[in-house]
Amino acid sequence: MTLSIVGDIGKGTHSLSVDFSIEPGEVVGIVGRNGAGKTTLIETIAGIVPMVTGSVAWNGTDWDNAVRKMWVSPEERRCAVVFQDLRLFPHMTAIQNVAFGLRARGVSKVEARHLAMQKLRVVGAEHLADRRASVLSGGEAQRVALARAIATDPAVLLLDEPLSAIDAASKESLREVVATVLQQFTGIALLVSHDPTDVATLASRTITLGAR
Amino acid sequence: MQTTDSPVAPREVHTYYTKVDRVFRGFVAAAALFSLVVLLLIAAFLLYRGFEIFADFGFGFITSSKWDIGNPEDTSTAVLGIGAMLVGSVITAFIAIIVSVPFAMASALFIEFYAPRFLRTILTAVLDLVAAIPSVIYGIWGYVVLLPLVEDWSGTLYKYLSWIPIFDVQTPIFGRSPLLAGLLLAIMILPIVTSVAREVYGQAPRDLIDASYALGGTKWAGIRTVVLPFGKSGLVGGAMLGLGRAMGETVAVYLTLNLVFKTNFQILASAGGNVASLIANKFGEATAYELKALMAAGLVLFLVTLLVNFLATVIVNRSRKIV
Repeated sequence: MTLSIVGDIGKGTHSLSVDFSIEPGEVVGIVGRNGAGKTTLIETIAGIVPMVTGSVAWNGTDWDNAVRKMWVSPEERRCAVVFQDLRLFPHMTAIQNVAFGLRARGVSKVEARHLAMQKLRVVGAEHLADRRASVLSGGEAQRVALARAIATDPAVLLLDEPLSAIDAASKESLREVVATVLQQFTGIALLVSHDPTDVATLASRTITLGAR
Repeated sequence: MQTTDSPVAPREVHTYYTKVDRVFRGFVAAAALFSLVVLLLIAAFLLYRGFEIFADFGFGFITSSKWDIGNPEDTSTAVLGIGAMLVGSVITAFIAIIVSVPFAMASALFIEFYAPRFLRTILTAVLDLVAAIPSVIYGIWGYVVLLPLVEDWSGTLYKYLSWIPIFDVQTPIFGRSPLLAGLLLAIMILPIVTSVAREVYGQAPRDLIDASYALGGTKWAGIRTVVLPFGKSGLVGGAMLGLGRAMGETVAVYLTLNLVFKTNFQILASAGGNVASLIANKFGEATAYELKALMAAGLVLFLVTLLVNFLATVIVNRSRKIV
């Protein structure tokens, strides 16, 4: 179940050529300077931004093919994203945020809550379950965002600067949480980071992006 | 660098205007204040002309349902009250809101999230056109086209739901009823409620909507999770704007609702009225005393719609700040 992306990605007037494949079990670190297209790459794979040219395919199935005009909508791709700005739903509690993907897939409320609580335990945030997302600290919100991403057992896990907004004191413990999650994750993981320590610690290989 | 913990008094800054600036500033200030002055003058006019009625009848003018001018030579024989009309105003406006708000929400969601660009442009233009249709045209259309349909619907509602008091009637003859007026008002206020709904839904955080998609949510899940909660208070404000319009509507209600001075909660019955249609109905042939009563009724309507519109503006503005 390989993820492959070949072609140009971009928003507006800038585009970037990419060409790589990722095998299951791999954690690929994506590095590059600001504006290189790291977040755009995440959004393209997730289906938020279409490919300019080329294709994204998972397990041989096109998710996005600009030539053949094929497009699989984001909700049908087996992806989950931890956004750089987290994007927790502020009016919902932590457990409601984590259960969102499960409920969207038709899981019952009780079952979704049970599974969501399991994921919160994995990231060490079960005590935050009934707290509103808008009152969580940066580190707490990051854990909840991670739990939300893994709740639906995605095939592709996309992490966009998961440790960027965390203070130095909390970063080490959170890096361990991310490492634990990635060790247990059996699918394909992309980790975008500008911190060499994060990439060295968490990724099995690194791809460097550069804008043209 | 020296720092201090004690608060520093704000520095006073004066702006000195040139003569041309002063003239222009005076002109635009006068223009802005003009609408406030007109508002106050209208209120003062209504109060002045209707004060005698409040003095004669007190709070009873608002609660009493009887409208009898008595002997025009002797005003003490008059019994005047707008209670029934106030109830009618509320009932017809309430029907209008119940019917129009779901349609407005659905229209706004379709225009913002589902419609292709060309259709969005067309629908937006159509809504603006619908809003511009004169009330009297709505009234005539309501009387000629909508009335026969509502008579049929009323018969069906009475047949199956007359056990609910509001759908019961003493005599099952259906015509110009609060239901007809309410449905017509719903169509009339649909553009304004839809317009406000579109504005608030369009301001829902796009990044959160994208996040919902990226987590496996469908478009409906994104709307339910992000758009509707963020647009809740704004929609309430839009509904209240529509409510204010509905309560003050005159000609359309005048043509589609039989004016009867009896408090009526049975929406299928051919009886009712609202304050605005009362004024339109009585104005042409009113005695001097009755005219004062109509002014008093106008003042009550003026204050109620002012209050509703003020609350709506506060709610809509607050929803903009939240977003």
